[in-house]
Amino acid sequence: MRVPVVRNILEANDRIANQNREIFDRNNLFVINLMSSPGAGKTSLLEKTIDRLKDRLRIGVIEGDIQCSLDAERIAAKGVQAIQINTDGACHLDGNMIREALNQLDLSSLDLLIVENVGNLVCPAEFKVGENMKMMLLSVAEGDDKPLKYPLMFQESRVLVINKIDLLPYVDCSVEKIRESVSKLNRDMVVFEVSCRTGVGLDAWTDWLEAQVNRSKTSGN
Amino acid sequence: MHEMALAQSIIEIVEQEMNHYQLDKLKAIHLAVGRMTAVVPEQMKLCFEILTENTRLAGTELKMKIVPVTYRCGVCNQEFTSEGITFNCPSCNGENPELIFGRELKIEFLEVMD
Repeated sequence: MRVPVVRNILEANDRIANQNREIFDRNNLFVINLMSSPGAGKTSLLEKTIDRLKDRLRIGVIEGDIQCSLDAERIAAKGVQAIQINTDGACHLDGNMIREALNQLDLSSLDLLIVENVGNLVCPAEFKVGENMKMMLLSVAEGDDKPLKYPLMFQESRVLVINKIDLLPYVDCSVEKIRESVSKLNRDMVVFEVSCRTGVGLDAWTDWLEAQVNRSKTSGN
Repeated sequence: MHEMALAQSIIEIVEQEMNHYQLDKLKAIHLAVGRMTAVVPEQMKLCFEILTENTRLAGTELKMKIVPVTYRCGVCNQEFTSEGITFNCPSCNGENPELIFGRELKIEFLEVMD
């Protein structure tokens, strides 16, 4: 005998993510879900972004890692609210983990909340946390084939930041090829090329980000 | 290893349905899993097996129907399946076909012991 069910396996996560989004909207807060491989430079990009924007935006960070609180300590040293989530083995953050972390943040005193996901190019794409925007970071040392190997994540993201471009003379990676693949996967993707080490390209990225946050605030979502 | 989180979600949904229909035992749970979701069926089965040990779902089979990646061309309306990501329609070479199947993560039905 068959009992029809037809339910989405991720429905519980989607429901919690939608509730998180309502909380964010009530607090007029813009939320980014930052995803990349391990070592692409997520925490470094956050440090540089905070340095440039902390006088203009009130920023908070939720750090997701399998173990340890090194990243949250680095971010807290910048003088912003930072919460560490340890997933104890799970390869991605989900809506519920974010919900629990929200209790430790003063949301009404923030303009921008960045959720740094666990370093992984596969799993985080399927799990919403309630974000306004997904973003990807890719370093040139990882190679230019990553968008085609992990297409889902690139399709889901609004913006791609390509990091470590100071290493381009030393690695076999074509930024043009990355741009070409990405534009096929996601026509509307905005792409920035930066080096967190030298600082090149960072102003263009943070100017764009600030405009997104302000635009969201004036439109009320 | 998002298979562990998915297996946990499956169990929660199936437990609700079993309570609702007053079912004690299941023969199998039938899923539709899109090829684009990067789910590894063997891992999913293993995670499900581990999580259901010593519960009423122990021994229930997880059956997965893999849904091929399917596109529809916006130019000529042709639908076609693909092994992976595709940027052009094989019939008319039209660009950016729309992905219509391949991202499913669904429970379709429960198979009850006869």
